Amino acid sequence: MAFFRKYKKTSASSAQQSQNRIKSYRLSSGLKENLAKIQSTFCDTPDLVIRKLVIKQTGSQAAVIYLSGITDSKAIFNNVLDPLLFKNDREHDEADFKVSLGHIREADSWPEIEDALLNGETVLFVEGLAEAYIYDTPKFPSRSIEDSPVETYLAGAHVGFNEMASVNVALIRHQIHNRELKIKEMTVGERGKTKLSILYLADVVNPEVLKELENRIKQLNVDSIINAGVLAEYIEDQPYSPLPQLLLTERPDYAAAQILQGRIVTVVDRSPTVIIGPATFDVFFKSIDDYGSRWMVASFIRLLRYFGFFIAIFLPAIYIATISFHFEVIPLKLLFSVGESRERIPFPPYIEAFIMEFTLEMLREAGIRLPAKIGQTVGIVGGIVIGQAAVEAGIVSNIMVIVVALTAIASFIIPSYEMSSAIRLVRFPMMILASLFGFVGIVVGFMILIGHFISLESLTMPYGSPAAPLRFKEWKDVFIRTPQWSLEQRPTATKAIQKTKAHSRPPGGDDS
Amino acid sequence: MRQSRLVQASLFVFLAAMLTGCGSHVPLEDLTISLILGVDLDEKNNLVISESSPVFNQDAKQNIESYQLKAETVRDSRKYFDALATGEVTAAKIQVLLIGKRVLEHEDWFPVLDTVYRNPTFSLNTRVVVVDGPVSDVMFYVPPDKPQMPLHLKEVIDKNIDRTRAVISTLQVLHRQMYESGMTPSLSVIKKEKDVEFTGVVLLDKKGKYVDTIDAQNSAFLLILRDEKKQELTLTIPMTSLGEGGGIFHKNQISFDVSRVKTDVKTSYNKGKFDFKYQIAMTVNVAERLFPAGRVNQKELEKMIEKELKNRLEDMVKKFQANKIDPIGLGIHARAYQYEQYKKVKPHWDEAFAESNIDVSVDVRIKSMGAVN
Repeated sequence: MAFFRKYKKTSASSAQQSQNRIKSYRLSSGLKENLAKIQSTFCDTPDLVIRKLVIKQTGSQAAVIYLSGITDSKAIFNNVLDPLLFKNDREHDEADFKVSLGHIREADSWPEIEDALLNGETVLFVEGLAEAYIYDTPKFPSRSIEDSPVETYLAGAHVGFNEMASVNVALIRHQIHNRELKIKEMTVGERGKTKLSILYLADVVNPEVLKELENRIKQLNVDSIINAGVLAEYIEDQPYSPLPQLLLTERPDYAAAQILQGRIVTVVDRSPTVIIGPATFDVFFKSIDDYGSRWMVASFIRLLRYFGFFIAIFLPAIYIATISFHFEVIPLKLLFSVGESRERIPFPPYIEAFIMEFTLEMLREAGIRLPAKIGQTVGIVGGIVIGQAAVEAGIVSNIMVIVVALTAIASFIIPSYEMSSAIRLVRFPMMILASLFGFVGIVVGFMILIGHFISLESLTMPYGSPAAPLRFKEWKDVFIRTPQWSLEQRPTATKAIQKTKAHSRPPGGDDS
Repeated sequence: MRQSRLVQASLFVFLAAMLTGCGSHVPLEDLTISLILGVDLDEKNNLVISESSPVFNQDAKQNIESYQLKAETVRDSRKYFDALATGEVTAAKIQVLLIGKRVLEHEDWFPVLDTVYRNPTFSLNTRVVVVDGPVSDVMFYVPPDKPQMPLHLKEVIDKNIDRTRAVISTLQVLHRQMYESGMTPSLSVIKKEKDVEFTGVVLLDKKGKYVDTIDAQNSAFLLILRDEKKQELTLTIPMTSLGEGGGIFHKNQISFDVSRVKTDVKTSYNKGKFDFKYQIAMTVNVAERLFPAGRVNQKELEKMIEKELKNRLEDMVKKFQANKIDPIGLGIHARAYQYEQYKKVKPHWDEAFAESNIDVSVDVRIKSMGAVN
């Protein structure tokens, strides 16, 4: 009841308050009042610049205001201040104050002014006007366009996204010169006000999928989206799944390729990664290299990746299961060497495996966190500790070292970092199952994994496609990649409304 | 939604806890993995079981441990082995099962191996090998210049199978041959002289009792009759029609690789007897010839080889008939083609086999005389 009483009280006084609010909401026509208001709003803001001047054209008192760090000072000097102070062009008798900038707008409310200043725009107050002019002069500090340090490819463009959404959109536009490439802008975050740009091909993408994505973003009510991963976690279909359901990339060529497949790219301002959806499981095993290199090589490498996927998940589990339960399946000669190297180890196989796997994970994490120069030391320390000392000290067997090394390498060959981390994670439950139930446990674990995989969705599209639901025709670009001209169809999993790509035919003579 | 997920999760944990798993949980190095199992009789006809397993410990002077003891049955022996060995004795990796010849000299020894078939931990791919002499001679022999005995034995047997000299006699094959009414069992045999060596094949009668031993060359002939040529088959025979070789070096010897052999049996029944007509077609490459080229041309040589092979094969078949054993498995042919008649003689096929007419004809074609003339 106390709550209701309180509510009543506030609603009674709200009419009066709103009157005041409107008063303070609007700009005043007096320059002095406006400047005082600005100064009180942006107190303790040393980078706020207020330049008072007299406009030569009209002779009126005015002030140019901007935040110095995030604006293009050259543009302000040359294109705003210079015309205002020195140009006297009486040809057109308009109140429009001539500046040589492309984008100019007017604003008459304080929130707009605040937003504009924080966005790096320049505000012009003029004595006697209850409106302000806003000039488009932002220049945030930004990184130059470089190759992505995380995703390195041999055959792709050596260009990576940076932290500016406008640059990132431009990079994708650079790849797709088509008027159907549409961009929808949205803002997310109460405090952060992160700008999102949703890019898609209007005549390809399925409108329902697009709507679903927009809806999910609209429902968001958060303080700020710091980077793309945060947003991905909010809009994912099944956040309790170990498998990633949205693709993250730092490469414009890859993002553009996915747009052409009928997928939707969400560019998050201030983040060098973009979100691609709807994703399927097989997309995480593809890289732009697969299309840049010849199809036989690409097919071989792709098969290798799937093989690596299974090794990375199951090899330690199989090691534990065979050593503790099913030594019969080890060939006789291997049995001797395994037995000899296991003999000195005081731990049961699962503890041995856990020690080694944890060591490996720690080394890997340490390598990421350390600067590149010290990172090498971690490699050496890890190599010596794991490779030699641990074996010589009789803590782990050398077969286990081989297993761990193979597992690590196998998980490194997955192109997507999200997927390879998912695999690292899934490995541990498999090892527990193997240590309790042997091969039966591994099989049960595998079945659970498959069951989960089949039920997953990405932006309401089936995640397992084209393996589950089975679309055999599309296997041309899953485990292997057939020649380019045979890949005429966009994947069904994107539900693209334009299914067939531009017609392509194999290279050949005139009669082909 | 949330509740159903909770139900699912608890159901999953419950089901996982119900999993039976795969038996006991003993790491490999804590097991005593028997690689050879020996079954023999001592002088007083007591059953003697022996086993040999690798020792993984580096401090141990020998890397193989062997025990021999008296026991009532094979399974019964395990408790004594457990009393002796470091780890739990397990039978799952037995490579070679050695049977002493003394065992085979008694009828109805086969039930001793019952546990080997009944217990699923035993591998049915275990090679069954007969030891001519006491099993302990082989079991406790530690050759200084060879790999561990189990590995060595297995390799020796497998190699001779590949070269078409030893019969395939895994536990499974033995089981089939023991219960097959149209065939008598045959097993490879080894002997410990200075070293352990493969000597040939022992032939058993229907009840498993020892009847005869044939040497390696004759085993090859047996395998030709069975149409079981493996990777390689080389025969070395003297051309007796060229006369005595004389001297220290028997100059009438010829060796040839049989590159292809096709054995056909025509089965018929007339005048109360089974009739088996063997037609063996061979393509051979001469690998070795000690007599000079001028003495005989290729056609004549083919004829000579045919005659020589025919004699040997027929001699061998006659010997089988005299001993009333059918290691070739002609009963299976009889059953397949003359079932009515076979049905009548089935309980005593060995008798019918002994009386049947077996005719062998060999057709040899020399494909190559080798690189030199």
